[in-house]
Amino acid sequence: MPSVEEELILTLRRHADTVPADPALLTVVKARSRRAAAGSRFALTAGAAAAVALIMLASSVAIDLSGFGPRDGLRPAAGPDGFLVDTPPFVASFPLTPTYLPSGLRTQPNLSGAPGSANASYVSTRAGKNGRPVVAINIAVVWAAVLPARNPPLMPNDKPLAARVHGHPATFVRSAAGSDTADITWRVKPGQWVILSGTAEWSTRGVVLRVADGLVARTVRSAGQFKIKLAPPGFKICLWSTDSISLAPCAVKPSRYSDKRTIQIWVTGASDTVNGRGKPVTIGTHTGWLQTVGRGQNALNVLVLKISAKTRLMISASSVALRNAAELSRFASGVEYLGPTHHLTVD
Amino acid sequence: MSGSFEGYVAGRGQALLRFGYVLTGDRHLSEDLVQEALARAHRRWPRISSLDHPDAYIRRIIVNDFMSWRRRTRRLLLVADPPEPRTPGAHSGDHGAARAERDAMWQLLAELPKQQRAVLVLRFYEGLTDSDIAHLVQCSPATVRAHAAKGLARLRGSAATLSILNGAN
Repeated sequence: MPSVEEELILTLRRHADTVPADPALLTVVKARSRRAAAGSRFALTAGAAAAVALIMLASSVAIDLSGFGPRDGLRPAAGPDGFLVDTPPFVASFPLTPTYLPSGLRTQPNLSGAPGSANASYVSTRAGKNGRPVVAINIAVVWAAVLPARNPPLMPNDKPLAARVHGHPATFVRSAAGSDTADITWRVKPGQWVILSGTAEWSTRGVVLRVADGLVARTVRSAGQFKIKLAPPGFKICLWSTDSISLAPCAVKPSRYSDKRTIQIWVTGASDTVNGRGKPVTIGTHTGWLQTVGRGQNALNVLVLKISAKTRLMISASSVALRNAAELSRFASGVEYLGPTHHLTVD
Repeated sequence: MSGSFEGYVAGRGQALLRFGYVLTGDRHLSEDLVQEALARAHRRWPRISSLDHPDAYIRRIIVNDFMSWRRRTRRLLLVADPPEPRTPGAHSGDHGAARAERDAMWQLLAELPKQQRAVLVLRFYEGLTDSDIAHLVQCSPATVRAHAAKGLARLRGSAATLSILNGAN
């Protein structure tokens, strides 16, 4: 009888052997690298990577568990056909506002966040190499007992330097590794951290420290780009950015989120990648396509809706989150794209 | 080590894809993780290529990213293929039964928490020591041993595993 260890080794090797070579890997990697260097649409700079990691394990993140407790942790027991329920309006918020920003930046931030974290990104007024604004300054607030590790990790020669922000001990790191970034991290109070990063010409110690010193506790709010009218009971918005939103069951820990458990909504440009994929559908006044991949619990429905000549609204959900195409269609009928303009308010 | 990024991807890309797959158990997610890690490495290549073990650094990015739930898998969804059949009956031939058993083991592995799975893959696929794994996943060797012990215990304790092992005789 083989041991579990031996069986495990054989299993891993056998499955590794099924991975085909990818002749396009280098091309794809370089394209992704270029896109990221020009500024991520998710407004997460390399310097904010620690903030991205914020939620990595999320052991201390408070999740609202009230009123929902399905045994499988995925969704409540199936109800009648009218399964979806009204969902309250969502407003993204960020608790800090900079009183100083370097010239050449837009003063209105792009907000994004997740359970246990929130980000505000300030972009340049001029476009970068890819025609989009560069994310110049990113501010992340992380609610965690211990700050999660950075990813990518520091390089051997990236030496953290001691600094102070608002009287708090802080750590400043500047990396000249290809894409210049600098970030400063400090603990505002037990369980709350701020990571402020600058990229490119805004990655100097002077700029980063000055922006950090100028932060004040004024909350910025945005209704975001989507209105979600219906959701499966127990689901709530768990991840948001300027152009995307995800819903997940309240009872599922962030560390267990996956595309199987979440409903994802985002906008993208019209392209052959999305146009004509799947069966033609009409949802309300919008036409589009619905594609189903996989079967059973692995089935994933992806809906593409034409909301303008150049813009597509995308919704993906597994059969775990929304049971079938009809339920996805009903959910989609309650999704409204408000356009790229952000209506921000500051307390 | 030093060399071009292109040379590194040509030489090590496949190994990283294999590692990513056994780490995640998901072909598309693993491709996404590896591409993302290499894209990050590309931007830092002059420095990474000067490291003694660039592989270790890039694997660390992949593992850290895997441990994060914040994967944006959606960019791949539209080109996703139906998942491979996992039923034992899908296999045939002299080694069909053994393969089916390993598929069952593969599914059990998929049910482990990410930390436990990562530690087991690093130990039993990559052959790393507990100390190396601890450095890679940024925890103590004792924590690595705890994750490995818990992961193996769950695999051992599973009735399905027991039947696999008994049936393999």
